[in-house]
Parts: sequence; C-alpha cells; structure tokens
Amino acid sequence: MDQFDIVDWVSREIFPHEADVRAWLRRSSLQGAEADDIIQEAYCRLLTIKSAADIRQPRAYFFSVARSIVLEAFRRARVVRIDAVAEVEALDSIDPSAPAEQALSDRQELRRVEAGLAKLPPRCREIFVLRRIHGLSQREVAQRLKISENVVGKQTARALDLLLRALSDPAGSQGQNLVSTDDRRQFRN
Amino acid sequence: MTDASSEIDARAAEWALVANGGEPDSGQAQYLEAWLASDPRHRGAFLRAQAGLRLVDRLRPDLVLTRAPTRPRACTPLSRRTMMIGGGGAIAAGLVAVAASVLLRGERFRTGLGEIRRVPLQDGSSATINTDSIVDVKLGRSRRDIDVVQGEAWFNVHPDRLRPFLVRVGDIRVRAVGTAFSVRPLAAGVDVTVTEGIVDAWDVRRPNAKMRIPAGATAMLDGQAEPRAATPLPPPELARRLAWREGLIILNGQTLAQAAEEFNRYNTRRLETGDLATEQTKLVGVFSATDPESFARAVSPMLRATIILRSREIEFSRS
Repeated sequence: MDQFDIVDWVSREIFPHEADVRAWLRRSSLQGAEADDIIQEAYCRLLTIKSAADIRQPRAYFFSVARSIVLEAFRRARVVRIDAVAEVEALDSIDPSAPAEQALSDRQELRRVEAGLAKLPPRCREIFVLRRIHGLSQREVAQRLKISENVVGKQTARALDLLLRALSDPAGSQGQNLVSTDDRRQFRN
Repeated sequence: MTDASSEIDARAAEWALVANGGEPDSGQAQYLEAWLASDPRHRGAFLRAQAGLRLVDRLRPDLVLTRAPTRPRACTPLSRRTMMIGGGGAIAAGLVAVAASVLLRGERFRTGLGEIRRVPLQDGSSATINTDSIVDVKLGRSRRDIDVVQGEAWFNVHPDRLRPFLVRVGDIRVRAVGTAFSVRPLAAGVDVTVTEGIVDAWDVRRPNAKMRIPAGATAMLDGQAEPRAATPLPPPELARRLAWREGLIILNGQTLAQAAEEFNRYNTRRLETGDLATEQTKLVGVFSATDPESFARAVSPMLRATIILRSREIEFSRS
C-alpha cells in the first residue's frame, strides 16, 4: 500500500503520545539528548510501517519501540545502572494503553497546540501564525511585518521546532501529560 | 558528522516547512534527500516534524478562530478581516480601512502558476485553491456563495444549516451543509469529488435533475446528457486526486502524456512528450508538483528515453 499516508497516521496516532513516552524515558533516567536520540530513532523505525492496519495499538507500539531501542543501547553499553534496566524492563508491567488508548480528541489537541503557541516568543509566534495558520505566503508576511523573507523562513522554522518541543516535552506541557509532577520528581531522585 | 539531537530537530523543522507548502524551490529536493541520507536519525526527526506540522494544519480552521491566550493584543493585526485582505493578494496594509465594504461585496482569491493556497474563511470553513485559479467568496447572513471562476478548489465546509454553502462553476451548482469536496472544471464538464458528507449538485438549466454525491464518490456534470450516477472512488484514487493540496502529483497507472498534462498545470517549464507522445507505459509514484525535472529524470530510464533540458521546457526523446 504505497498510498498509506504515514505522516498523517503519525500525526494522529503517534505524535500525541510522545509526551508520555518522554515522561517514561525520564523515569528511566534517560533525559535530554539521550531521550531525543531515542525518540528520533523510534520515529525512524516507524517509517517501516506499511499500513495503519499493521498496528492495532499505536500508543502501545510507540512505547514498545522506544523500549527496545533503550534495551539495545543497554546491551551495547558496558556499564549500566541496574536500576535503570529494571525500570525499563518494568515497562511490561505498566500498561501503556491504560490511560487513553484512543487518540486525543481534536478538542484536547487544540488546547495543547494553543498552549504551545502561547509559549512562543511573541514575534516568533506572530510570524508563525500569519504564515502557517492564516496561510499567507512568505513574501506577504515579510511585507506585512517589514522584515526580510529570510527572517520569515527562519522564524517560522524556529516556531515549529519550539512548538513541537512544547507539545512533546512533558516538563513543559503544563500537566497535560498523564504523569503527574509528583511522579516525575520521585523518579528523578 | 554527528549533530546534537536538538540541532537535528531544528533542521528537521526547517525541512518539514520546505517540504510542506513552503516556498517552492526545486533545487532543495536534492539537498533534503542528502540530509536524510546522512544520518538515520534525520529520517526519524523529519517524520516527526512533518507529523507535528500536519497536526497544526489539521487544527487550522479552529486555530484561526481563537485568539492567542497570553497576549491578545499581539493578535490584533491578525483579526479575520485584515487577514482576508492580506490573503487576497498584494493589497497594502493601508487599505485595511476599507475592509468592511470589501467584505460585503465579497472577495477574490487568485493563485499563480504552481501556487497552492489555503484560505480560511470567516465562517470557519476553508478553501484550498489549486494552481492558476480564481475563486470569489461572498459570505452573507443567509447563504454562503462561492464562485470558482477558474481552476480548481477544495472546500472544507463549516456546518451551518441556516446558511447553505453554494459553489458555482459556470452553470453547475454544488450545495453543501457541512462537508468537504472539490470542484474542477474540465473540458468534458465539472468534476465534483466529495471527501466528507454529502453534496447536491445540479445544472442551472436542469434545476430538477439534482444529483446526490456521497463521501468517497465523484461525478462529472457536463450539462448535456442525463446526469450520470456518482461513481464511488477507491480511497487511494481519492487520495491521488486530492494530492495537489500537499503540492504533490501522485501517479498510479497514468501515462506519460497524462502526467505531463498534470505537471504543466503547475509549471512554466513545460514537459513535452516529444517522441513519447503515444507511450502507453503506466507510471506509478509520488512527485513534487513543482519539480518537473525530478519527475523527468526519474521516469526517463524506465521509458528508455532521454530528456532534453531547456530553460522553458523538458522534452522526452528516443534518439
């Protein structure tokens, strides 16, 4: 099925759960750059999916892909903290599908995106909203704000990057994720 | 070379924008491919950024209507009225004062060759306008009138039972309540393809012969013969027909001549079939609508043809 729209599928079934996968990585003492690497690798593996029908439970699948990447990394590493391994292996006992197997509702996603946009630096947000939400061309945005097209392009990309970070980083998502702040503190210690 | 993962995410965001409705630049496709190939993490980050962007695009009709929560003042220049003017083309910001009267008379949206534009409408609907098209929009209190003067457009109609959404294409009318569909005038008639909900379509010269077209079906209204029944489309064919919204041309069994005709809708640099005008090989693939050269390079070996690259055209040849 070369018509399977993987971008659309990932945007609906995978990306909304990234915050929770990151929260879980965090509890497994994997943070920052390490977590980013694992997430990028996980998306890379998702590219092999040929049809939405292959994956019954996308959320659980996303968790299991991340888990296997972590375990492979542990196998390669010479020194691994025992508690980190235990934490990762304990994923089997956590049911990743329990909180919300169904995709987030459009309403919830809308609130999350709005909150993410609100956190952008004002100028950056203004450019992104004109360009991507209101659909002005790069040139139109540049003329309107009296800046160069190059700046519009750079700021739009910066806004998207920051927005994706806000949507996918539990620490920044204002309790929208399913892991409470208390949970996180506990695991960081 | 190993970049920091956050650096990769930042680059992926740039590429996602270039690949999805950014300013078309045919030269960039090769750079993207090279970047993707240089590190396996790049492909993952690119998929992630595209998916995030798609999420934003999907929520656009709603986002348009909401104000930014923190700094409402910052959003003032983005009010719907001024947006519509800005979206309407090269009209100076100084003309905002006359926006109200312009709105009453309706607005005209024009796209150039190769330009694809999504226009959010004031009622929460949106119009996605294909290359080289002209669409007039008039939103009244009791009805919403859209005139596709030239070219092709896809509409995602915000449900409002009190205000029917009526699209005119010459003598053909398409009426929807809350639904999504596209219209495209062709030599043989007007093609109406419905992606969500149901629409009624008819010819003003035969107002009693209304045709009901359900989601996933298409109909050709030619105003001449008895209207033929709507034809259901397999989902891949539906996706193929509407791929232009993403700036893509999807081929699934089309001939070179058909593909060339499709590319030539978007580009000043034309594809000429030359010696291969009657070539019947069926082509399959996904291509950027604004990059005919990459298409020509990709298919010519398969057709055992060479291509002659000129600034205004690309010609296929057997010699």
